[in-house]
Amino acid sequence: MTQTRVKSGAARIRDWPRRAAPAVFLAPAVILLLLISIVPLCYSLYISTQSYNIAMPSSTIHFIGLQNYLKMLVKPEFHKAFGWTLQFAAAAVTAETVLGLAIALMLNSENSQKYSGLFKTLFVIPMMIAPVVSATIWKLLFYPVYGVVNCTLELLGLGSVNWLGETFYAKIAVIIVEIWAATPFCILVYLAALKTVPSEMVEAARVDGASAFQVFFNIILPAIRNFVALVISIRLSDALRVFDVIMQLTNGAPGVSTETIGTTIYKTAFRYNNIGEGSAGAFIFFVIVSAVAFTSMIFMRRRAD
Amino acid sequence: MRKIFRTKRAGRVLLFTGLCLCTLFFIFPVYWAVSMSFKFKADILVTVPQYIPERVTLDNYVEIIQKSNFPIYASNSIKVAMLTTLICVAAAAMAGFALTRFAFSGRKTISALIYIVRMVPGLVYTVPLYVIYSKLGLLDNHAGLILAYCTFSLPISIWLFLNFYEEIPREIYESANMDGCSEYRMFLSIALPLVLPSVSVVSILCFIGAWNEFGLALTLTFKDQFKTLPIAINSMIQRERDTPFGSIAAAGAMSMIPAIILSLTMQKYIVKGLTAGAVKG
Repeated sequence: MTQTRVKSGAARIRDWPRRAAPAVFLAPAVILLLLISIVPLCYSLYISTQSYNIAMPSSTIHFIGLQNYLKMLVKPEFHKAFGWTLQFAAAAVTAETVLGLAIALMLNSENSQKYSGLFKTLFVIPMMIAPVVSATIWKLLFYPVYGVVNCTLELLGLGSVNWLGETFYAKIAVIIVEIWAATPFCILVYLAALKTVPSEMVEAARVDGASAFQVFFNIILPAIRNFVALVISIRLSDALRVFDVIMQLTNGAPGVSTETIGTTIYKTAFRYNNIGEGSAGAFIFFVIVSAVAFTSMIFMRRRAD
Repeated sequence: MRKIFRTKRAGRVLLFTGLCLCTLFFIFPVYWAVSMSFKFKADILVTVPQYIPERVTLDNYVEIIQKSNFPIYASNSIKVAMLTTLICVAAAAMAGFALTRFAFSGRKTISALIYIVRMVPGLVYTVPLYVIYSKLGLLDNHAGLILAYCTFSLPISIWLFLNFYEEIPREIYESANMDGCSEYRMFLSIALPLVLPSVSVVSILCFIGAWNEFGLALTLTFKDQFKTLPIAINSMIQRERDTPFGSIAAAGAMSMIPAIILSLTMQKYIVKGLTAGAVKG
């Protein structure tokens, strides 16, 4: 009896590296996630309940409950930014979905198999470039006098446009850059989705004399609708977070017409140094993005049934 | 028969033209930035654009390399992106192994933790990280930036590794176990070599993520000597009243080098990583 107990104790000691293995393997990742994500999140929740301005002495910091949230929610700039961000996300994601599907269909056609690899490689490039860099390039393209877009429009006799100076065109410009940067992602996922459509079904429909449109709307689209819903939900939550492109392309101008939720919060916190209100805004922003992602996920599940 | 052949051929031409037009939209800005970077100033500021440069020069590159801090920014970016990739791939490879190999209590908590970090927008972290880093003296410090980038790349990296480890048959581990192989040796000499192609997928995503990051770097770095490329390029266009088209194009072109090289050579891995990551996320 005693002997076996001693034995098992010794075995346990010899065995400890094995038992510690899960902890050892998980430690680096979990420590990083806790220290750099969870702790800051909790701290930010605390900051959001304080009257906290980094330009003021620390003795002025005090608890004000939910006032930061209320102040942020009643701000007219915040409402304006909220409306524009929704418009932007809706317009960009619609265009990306249509264009992405169209290009994916073209690449998937048996007539383009020979060179689809090359096109795919070229389409990957915009997605890999830093949003700030692509916004910079587009800003050069949209320059009023020497920009190539306006010069080309002039050459074609269409007249130039004040791209980044007028509200309407500035909004269009921002949406174009977003479409340029994000459509490649849609193309790739749709292309993967199209590979899952059974080709016998398409062939059979064609033999029965269905037109290309009928084949697309009655066979292909229903077959890939889950992928479409998934891409839309991912792209919507990404588009609502837009920040880099706005900061570089328009910086909110003209006026504050292209300020998004993201840039408004950033400027509240770091231009006006009101990090209490900025934190509160950031959590409101998080709730909005999650709500959109969640609703689109429910929508997706319902359609999957 | 001949008619069918003809319509088929017309369709093929139409398809090819359509694809070329779309490619033009996606590639022209990149082409324009690169070609502009090789143009003389006099050839840039013209109202009839030279779609194909008539003469080329390296002046713009010489200018940004010799007369600006560009080399510092570039080496900062290289350093930050490479260290982020190294640390993130190592941590994610280990965590993914533990999550697929062992059954232990707290597995669900860790999966939830990963999911939360994935969902929270980066902007939410800017304020608390700024305050915490300023108290710890980590502002204007690459270590702080690298640790943050690692953390935000971890969720997707761990998910990708999970997919890849799950493809390894269990029997391999079992027979290694019989031979008295420890979990640590199993990870290093069995699991890791088997998922090596996946390591490249995760590395590309981590590297590009860190190389391209802007919002956090903007809040956490202030001094020129610590800035990364996106921050430097952002300030190039705002500071000067007279926009230095050529220099900006050259800086932009050089910062696009990793993206272009990786797209041209590792297209398959990128597609795999992005689609798998998206579907999982």
